[in-house]
Amino acid sequence: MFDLQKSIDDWHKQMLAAGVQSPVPLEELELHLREEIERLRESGLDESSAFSTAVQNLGPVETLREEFEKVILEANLARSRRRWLAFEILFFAYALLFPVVLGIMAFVVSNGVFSEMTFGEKSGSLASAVMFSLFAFGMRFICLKYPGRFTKRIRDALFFTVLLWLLVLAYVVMPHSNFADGARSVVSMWGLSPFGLLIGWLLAFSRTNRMGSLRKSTS
Amino acid sequence: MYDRFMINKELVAASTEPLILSLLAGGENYGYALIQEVKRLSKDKLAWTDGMLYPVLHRLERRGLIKSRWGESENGRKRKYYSLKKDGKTALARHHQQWSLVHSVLSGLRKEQYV
Repeated sequence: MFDLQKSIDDWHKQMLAAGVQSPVPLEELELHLREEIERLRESGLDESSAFSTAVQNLGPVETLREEFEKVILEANLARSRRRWLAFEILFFAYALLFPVVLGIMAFVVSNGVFSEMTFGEKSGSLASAVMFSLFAFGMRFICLKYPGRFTKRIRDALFFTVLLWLLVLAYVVMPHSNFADGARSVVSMWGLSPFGLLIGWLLAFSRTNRMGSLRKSTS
Repeated sequence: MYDRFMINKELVAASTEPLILSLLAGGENYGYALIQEVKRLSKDKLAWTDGMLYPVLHRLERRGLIKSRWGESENGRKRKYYSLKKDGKTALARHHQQWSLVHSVLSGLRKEQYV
């Protein structure tokens, strides 16, 4: 004796075993199956034939699983694109706003270290912040224009140099030089400006990844 | 027997999205009814594999073109209803433009051949 409920339960298990695991599509497919069985029964088929025809009409399990997997993959790519866009905006804002914020602090509000500075020192600090931005956007431009040439090795060499320079600045130059407070700040800021190269590379990196996931999801 | 008027697989795949959007433009509906409607309108010449509709519906939903809600039919059967969103209407208009263009080019070429 054919047991429809048992056959549907077995089909459900088969689908789960094949990898159609997401509960919503499976529930929807089962509702579809039941409706199709009902229609076929009304057209005169017996329960067993109606069930097997309905399952056949749904299509091969493997193909179904692949199609649902594609939907999930696309969603993941879209999420990764949004994440990289957020990074890109963050780095862009940082590189762009740094000189603006510093300029306001130095010339408009004159708080913190800037209160004691001379006009020349303030201008020097602002120039270092502008330099930081130029480093960042220059690096971004180079990385995007010459993606092939700008290999990981060159990038690592550059970062190593910048890091080494920062260490030399912090542990050798600054402790052994006898700068006044204002001059000390200006020198530190100029010393830190090559850090913009790292921000520039991150800017290009997040953009490349975002465009990469965009291409994958549209192909 | 193979029906020579059956629409080929690639064309069926390409037309799925505009067809679903067009059907939903007429009001909210659920998967099974959408398939039956396409079969009826195409006189069974557009052979959709039933299950393949659902990944497409889910993709359209994730892309924000349609939305869904669980509901019940008159006889108490659980159903997932889909309806068109604003972006879906825009996408549908774009599909109409593209398909009309292909149709007009094809018709134009056919006329030229008979002149």
